[in-house]
Amino acid sequence: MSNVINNQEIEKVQMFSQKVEKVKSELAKDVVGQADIINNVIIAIVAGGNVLLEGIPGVGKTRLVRSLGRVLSLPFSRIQFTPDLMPSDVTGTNIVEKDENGRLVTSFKKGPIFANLVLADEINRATPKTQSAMLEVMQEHKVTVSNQSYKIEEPFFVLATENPIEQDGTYPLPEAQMDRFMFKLMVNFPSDEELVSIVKMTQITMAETAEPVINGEEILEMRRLASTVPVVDELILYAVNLVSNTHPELQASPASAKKYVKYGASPRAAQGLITAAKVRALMCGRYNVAYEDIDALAYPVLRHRIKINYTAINEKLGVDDVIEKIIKETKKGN
Amino acid sequence: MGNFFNKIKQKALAIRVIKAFLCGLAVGLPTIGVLLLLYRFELVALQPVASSLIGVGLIIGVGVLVYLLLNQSDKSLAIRLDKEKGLSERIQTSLAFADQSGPMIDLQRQDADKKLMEVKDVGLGLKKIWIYILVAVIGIGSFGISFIFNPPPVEPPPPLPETPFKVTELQLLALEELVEYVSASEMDSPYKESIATALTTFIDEIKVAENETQRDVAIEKAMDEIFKQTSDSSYGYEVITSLWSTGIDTCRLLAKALNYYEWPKEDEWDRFVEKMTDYRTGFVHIDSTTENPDEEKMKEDVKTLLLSASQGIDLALQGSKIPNEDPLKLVLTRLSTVNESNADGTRIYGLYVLADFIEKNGYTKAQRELDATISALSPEIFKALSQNAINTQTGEYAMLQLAGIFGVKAPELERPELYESTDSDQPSGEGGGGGGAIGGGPTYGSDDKVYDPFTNKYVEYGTILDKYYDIMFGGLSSGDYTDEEKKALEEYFQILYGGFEEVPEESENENN
Repeated sequence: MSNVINNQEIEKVQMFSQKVEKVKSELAKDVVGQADIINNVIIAIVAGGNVLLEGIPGVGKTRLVRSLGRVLSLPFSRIQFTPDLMPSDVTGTNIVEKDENGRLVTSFKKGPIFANLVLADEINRATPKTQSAMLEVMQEHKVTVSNQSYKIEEPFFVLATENPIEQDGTYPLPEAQMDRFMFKLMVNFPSDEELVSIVKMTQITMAETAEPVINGEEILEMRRLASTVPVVDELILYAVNLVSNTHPELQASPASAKKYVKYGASPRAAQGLITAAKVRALMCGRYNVAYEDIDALAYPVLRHRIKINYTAINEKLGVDDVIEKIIKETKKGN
Repeated sequence: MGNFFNKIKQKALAIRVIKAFLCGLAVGLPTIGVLLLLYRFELVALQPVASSLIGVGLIIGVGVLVYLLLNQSDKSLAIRLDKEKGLSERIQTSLAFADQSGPMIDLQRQDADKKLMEVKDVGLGLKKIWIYILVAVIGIGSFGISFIFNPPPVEPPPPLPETPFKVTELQLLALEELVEYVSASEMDSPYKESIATALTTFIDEIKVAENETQRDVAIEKAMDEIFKQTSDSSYGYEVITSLWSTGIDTCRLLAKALNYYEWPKEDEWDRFVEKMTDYRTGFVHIDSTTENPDEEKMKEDVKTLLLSASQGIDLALQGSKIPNEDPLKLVLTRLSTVNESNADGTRIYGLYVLADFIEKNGYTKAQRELDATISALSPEIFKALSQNAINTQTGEYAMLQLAGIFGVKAPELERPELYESTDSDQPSGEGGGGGGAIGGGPTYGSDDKVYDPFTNKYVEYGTILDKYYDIMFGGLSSGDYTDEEKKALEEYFQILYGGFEEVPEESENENN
């Protein structure tokens, strides 16, 4: 019996890898390069986390998310965040309309958030009020309007983008909002080779050609599978220590945190680290979480959750530099 | 956890044992080697067996210590394997979830085991074992060196230069006088002849002795022989000691009485008679102290005493090497068993006979017979003891003279210890007068009177010695003597003083 189960599981795990590879190969049709970004987006989706993509205009953020919606064959909606966007424009609202009998009745008209994959484009352009409308849905996967809650069908992901250079008329995301994102991924400018490929590809067609290769059910199955990956207590403790070490106010925190960090990451960071690490382990062909998983995921998990201080800026250190120092100063194992 | 991990555990244990053993050898063997080397160089007095035991103890002790220090749990072994072999925490995860099951956990376990098997060189510190082997080899080498390496031959200390020796004419003259003295003495014949022969042989040897070592060897040989003859001829000691040791009061009294046997002098004779009287009263201690004596009881008591004393005498005589014809043995035998008439018609009874006599004739009569017996035999006892004393005195005199001539110490004849230290009768050194080497104080070669030309009288030998020395010193100072005479005189007086006492330092300074 055990062997049978194992065989089935092996099959599922192999399918897991195949599906991931399929997603990657389909995305590669529309998105040139950005392998790390694609990998991390897939990890977040399988882990059930939201992703904040930050990058200058034109590096393919929106295209990536759009293509992902098609590849995952999930209901996809795009919300272009603007300063005049209202919360109800996101969540939906009750409207008064006539029923079949001509009577006036109130009915809820779902907003674009009611999709499996939501692209919150340029999320920092919306007002904090509208941004806050995303809090409940991102965390609890439900929308409450007029004391009525509406559950959003699983799987549900929010992939938001933001532009770091055009700060006029933008509203930086509050910490609570930022904490709802499992990852913050930095979409860098493509390399020369990638840029050449992009130019060549777009000379042929601008159409996005990625085909659906996976569905929501499969994503949920992959998530369930990932949740069973064993993690030893030492690694959980390491993830916790890593998060704790971002807090300069703690006595045990490392020198780099005390020196460069203004405030540290929330407990959601530790949860996100372990959850994402399990997915990464399976993607790497392992059945257990390793230190390398946590170290690799520490950057996307922590970079939007900690705030560096002026000393770090003065020394021209970025958030990733500080995270790297904290990783080095956090003891692995007993 | 997979079987392969268990195999690795066993391998780790074996490596741990090997390392511990090698460390033990590395410490223990050099220790043995060093100790053995030190022993061979005579820097420590530790025997090789003890060194080996210490080394073996160190091998075991250090081995156990290293074994314990290298101890690692399964978890630490798994962590180590993960870290050293880049197994991405597979092994420790597998170990942590060893008691759990589930599809993913089973897969993880298989994966961990598979990855572990793929590791070609598990290592476990085996690469570094050469360090342990090297240390052990050094240890074994140093141990072997202790056998191979020969310490440089220890130079024997150079022999002390022999002090040349040549016997002087005066010494030869004194020796020849001594031979004549012994030969002419009243000492029993076989003993004095042996001593004279030993001295004559010694004279021959000392004439050819070239250094002090040869001189000392010859002196020792002669002294041993004289001591032996003296000891053999002094058998009276044995009898007296044996009587004392019987524990019978009357025998102890007799031993005390007999102990006044030394050189016969007038006062010694009186003391001997006195002690013999004490001996006699040892049998009659009850009669005059009780107003209404129990005649029967007194008879039994005295009879018991008489028999005990007789038995004590017999035992003392049987246990000694005293010859049968020796006068002392004869007279003591008579004291025990005589039953004969005297020349004056009186009858004398030995102690044994008196025991029967008292039964038949009563206590008072027996007492009278005892007095008669002791009175009759005392002169004979004294005479017999005198001969024995002459033997002792002659032998001791010969030893003291020989020692005095060459400035060495004479051996002392063992005396019977008959007296408690608080006993006022203690004769040693007191009753003996000036004779012999015992008793401390100035020792002179003889108790003989010597002629004093200044007073025309015979005086004690020691009293005139200083006068002679003063005359000699005065003559030396005034240059009355030739060099040869000076040398002869110096040697003579050196011998004289060397024989009995050192010249006091103060008087030396004054003389100088």
